[in-house]
Amino acid sequence: MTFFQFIYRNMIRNLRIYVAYFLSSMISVMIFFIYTLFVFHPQMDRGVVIENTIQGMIAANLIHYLFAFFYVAYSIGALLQARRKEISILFMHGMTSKQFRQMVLVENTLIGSSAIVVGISCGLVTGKLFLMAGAAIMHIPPLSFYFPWQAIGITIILFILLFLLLSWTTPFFAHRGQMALLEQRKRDETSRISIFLSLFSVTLLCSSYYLTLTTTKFTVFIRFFPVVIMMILGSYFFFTQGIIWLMKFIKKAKGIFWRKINVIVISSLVIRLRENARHLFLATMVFTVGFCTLGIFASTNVLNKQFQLDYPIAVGYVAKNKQANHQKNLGLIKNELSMKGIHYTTASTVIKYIEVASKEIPIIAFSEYKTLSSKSGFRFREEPLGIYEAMGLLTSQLDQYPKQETYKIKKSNVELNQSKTGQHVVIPWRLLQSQGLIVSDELFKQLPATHTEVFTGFYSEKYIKTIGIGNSLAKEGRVMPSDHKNYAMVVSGTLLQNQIRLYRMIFFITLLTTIVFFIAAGSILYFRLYADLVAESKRFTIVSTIGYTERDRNQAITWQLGVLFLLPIGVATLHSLVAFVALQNYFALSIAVEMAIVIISFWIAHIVFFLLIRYRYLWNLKKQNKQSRREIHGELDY
Amino acid sequence: MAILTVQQLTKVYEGKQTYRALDRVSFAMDQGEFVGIMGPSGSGKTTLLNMVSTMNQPTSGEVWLNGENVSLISQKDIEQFRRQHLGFVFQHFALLDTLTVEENILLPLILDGKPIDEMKRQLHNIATRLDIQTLLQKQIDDLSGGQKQRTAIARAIIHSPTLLLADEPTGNLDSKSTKDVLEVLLDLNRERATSILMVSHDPLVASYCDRVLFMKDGQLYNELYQGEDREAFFRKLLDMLALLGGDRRDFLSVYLPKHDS
Ligand SMILES: Nc1ncnc2c1ncn2[C@@H]1O[C@H](COP(=O)(O)OP(=O)(O)O)[C@@H](O)[C@H]1O
Ligand SMILES: [Mg+2]
Repeated sequence: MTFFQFIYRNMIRNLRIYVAYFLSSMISVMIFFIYTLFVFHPQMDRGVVIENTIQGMIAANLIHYLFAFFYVAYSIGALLQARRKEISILFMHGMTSKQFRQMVLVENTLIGSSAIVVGISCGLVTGKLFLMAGAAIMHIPPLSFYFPWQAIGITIILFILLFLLLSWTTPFFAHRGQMALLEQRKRDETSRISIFLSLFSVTLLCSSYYLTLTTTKFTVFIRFFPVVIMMILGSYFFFTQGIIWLMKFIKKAKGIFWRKINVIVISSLVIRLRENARHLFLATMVFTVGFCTLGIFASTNVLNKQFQLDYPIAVGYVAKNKQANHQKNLGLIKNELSMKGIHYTTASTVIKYIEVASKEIPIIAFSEYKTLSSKSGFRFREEPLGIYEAMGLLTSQLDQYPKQETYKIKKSNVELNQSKTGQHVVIPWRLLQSQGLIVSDELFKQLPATHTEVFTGFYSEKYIKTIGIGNSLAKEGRVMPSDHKNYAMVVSGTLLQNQIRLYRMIFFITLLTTIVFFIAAGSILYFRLYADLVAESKRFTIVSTIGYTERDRNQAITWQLGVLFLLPIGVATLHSLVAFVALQNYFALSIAVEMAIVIISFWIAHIVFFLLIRYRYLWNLKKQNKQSRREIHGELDY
Repeated sequence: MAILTVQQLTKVYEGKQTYRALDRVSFAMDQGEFVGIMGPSGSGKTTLLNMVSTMNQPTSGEVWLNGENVSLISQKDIEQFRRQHLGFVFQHFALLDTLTVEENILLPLILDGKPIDEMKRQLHNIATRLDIQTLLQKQIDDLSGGQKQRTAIARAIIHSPTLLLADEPTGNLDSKSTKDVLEVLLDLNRERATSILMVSHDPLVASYCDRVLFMKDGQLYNELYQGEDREAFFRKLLDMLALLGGDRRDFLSVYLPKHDS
């Protein structure tokens, strides 16, 4: 028997422990492939979806690749860990490091290539379904199924690279542990849990929660990244240290620990939690991101209403100078609106640009602001301004102005005091791309302008019908000042439609990833446990001689599996709820219902999944038990 | 008074070939007795022990333990019965590798819901008696074979069972550990009057019993009492084993160096 034959047979016989690794690799390939299928779909770039969507998807694709990288690396590590004993025996019998590397390479090549083949095949089969579903969710004409040479090529190349790189590097990491491998593994690894890190994780989580809950529109941009990093670190240490420390703590409380099944459940849990800490951590993070993203993008109604607050006009046009084409353009818009049978009214206002410090800012007069507000259908309740008073000009609900600010205007000795902010958006951000001020009518007349622009708004009830209006002037519904034309323009219907498509797309992709990950995470956990089934069944046979009943056993299993399966989704729910409170800041309307629906659906699915897995596990355990009884009670097999 | 009475116990394994593993075995055992069972491998020793321990149902015949007919106990109460009256020691120790020594020993009491104080007291007593106080906090994987078996014995007797059943408790041990374990068993039998029913291949070990039953082909073949002189008893056992014939390897192992543990 050659070394290769040996490796091959060894794998076939121990298939049970390779399954988890194969599954995680296969699913990584599959998700990546399906993404790629979308990104490279020929119909995609012919303008069905707007540009940033595609960029977003490519970014998501890259992130997924990175994620797959770590995930597969981690799985290889777990695999080697599970095979400690076998590997140490091989080393004892004279396997060289070179042979060990060869073995890892051969195994990875076999598993990697089958994962690629199976992943792509599954991807192709489901791809058709996903394309149909995706198109339906995005409300774009059904994408035709095509044979995706490009996507297949990219997936194969990237994952071959991934597997080669990993099988080349992991043995080096494993090598360090080789001597340790030769010794018996010490179950007592738990002693390496540090109280410091455990408390640190709790502190991190609590303070990130606190910071999140107290975030306002003003602080969110400074806090966002630190808080996210704190949450990630906190969760990581929670799963690798904190929770295990907690278990050890419970172990000390003999009144709880020395009770019926507790002693067995908790002792096993300590080991299982340790073995799966990073897996559980990753699952938690993916669920958290999934919940938040899905929660937000499930709130399309809210988002659309939000959009209407940001874009109160059906069509908006800013003439940046006095050239002749503006009259023509405005005429064209009016024509198209009438042709579509949209009744509309118009209003316009002058925008002055004044020099403040080093920049120019747009200002409008208070009375005009009032007119535009009421044209937009907002209820106007703001107090008139004093002569040197100014208000921040809201260009979007997300705009933030300082509470108190003084503006010194150049070439005049006027000082403006801005101490409040207007409540309504009258000119959307895309027409100005700058923050501005509302000033009193008198002052508006006095202030010297570097230049003036004229804003014209078209107001209509049937706002959404403006899809496609003025396409010749504004492709994709917008011309922004940064486009360097002599006008700026927005068509709200077109913009809204694009936004809806974008959000649906994000929703769909996140849903897809979260679901696939959710199934993968569960299955991988299951197969991890399954790999240890023999030992587990032996343990239960042993305790049955002491008088643990089958009911005790089932209870113990339910607890163990329950904690392992529900802990990530539980922590993720907590994270998401906290995040949700902060996210609510961005929304003028409540997204609580959507968020609740998303989280509850996942819980239901997860619990069903958990029950299925519990059932299967118990079934397998029962089957295994006969064998264990024979070993322990010396009954023979016939 | 007989603590254990076995009457006409028969076990037939059904399968591709039905096999009569026990054939009308009858014997009785007194409170505080230390009884050994010997016989060639396959003669039905383990089967007998499993019937007595209620882990397996006999085809016919009865087992009376402490005045109760074991086969009449309902499935619901059997676990309760087992953990009140029986303690088990196995060749392969059957300890939980996920627990420490202390936790392993306490399992029967934990299951009975005993108060913590009592558990601690019992633990202390047992550990002192078996000389394993220093091991209590260790993990099972860190113990030697002898230490494992002593732990297993501690667990088997911590709840003071009516009967301690041991299936080749020294089968996996070297001679030093065998001696340790044997001393522990003898001590329990003498000092605490624990009744012990032990299967052993090793005539040296069996020579410490008050009485040894011999089995062959599922039947009780003979029995020998220790009498005054243990040395003489040992030689009688050897003679009896030679007479029984069967697989000589079983007995030769005594004289050969052990390979495992
Ligand atoms: N579960 C079983 N099914 C069928 N036959 C069995 C089973 N267990 C034991 N036997 C048979 O019963 C006989 C006695 O076995 P056992 O009691 O284990 O012997 P011992 O312990 O004396 O070596 C053996 O011949 C064995 O083949
Ligand atoms: Mg046997």
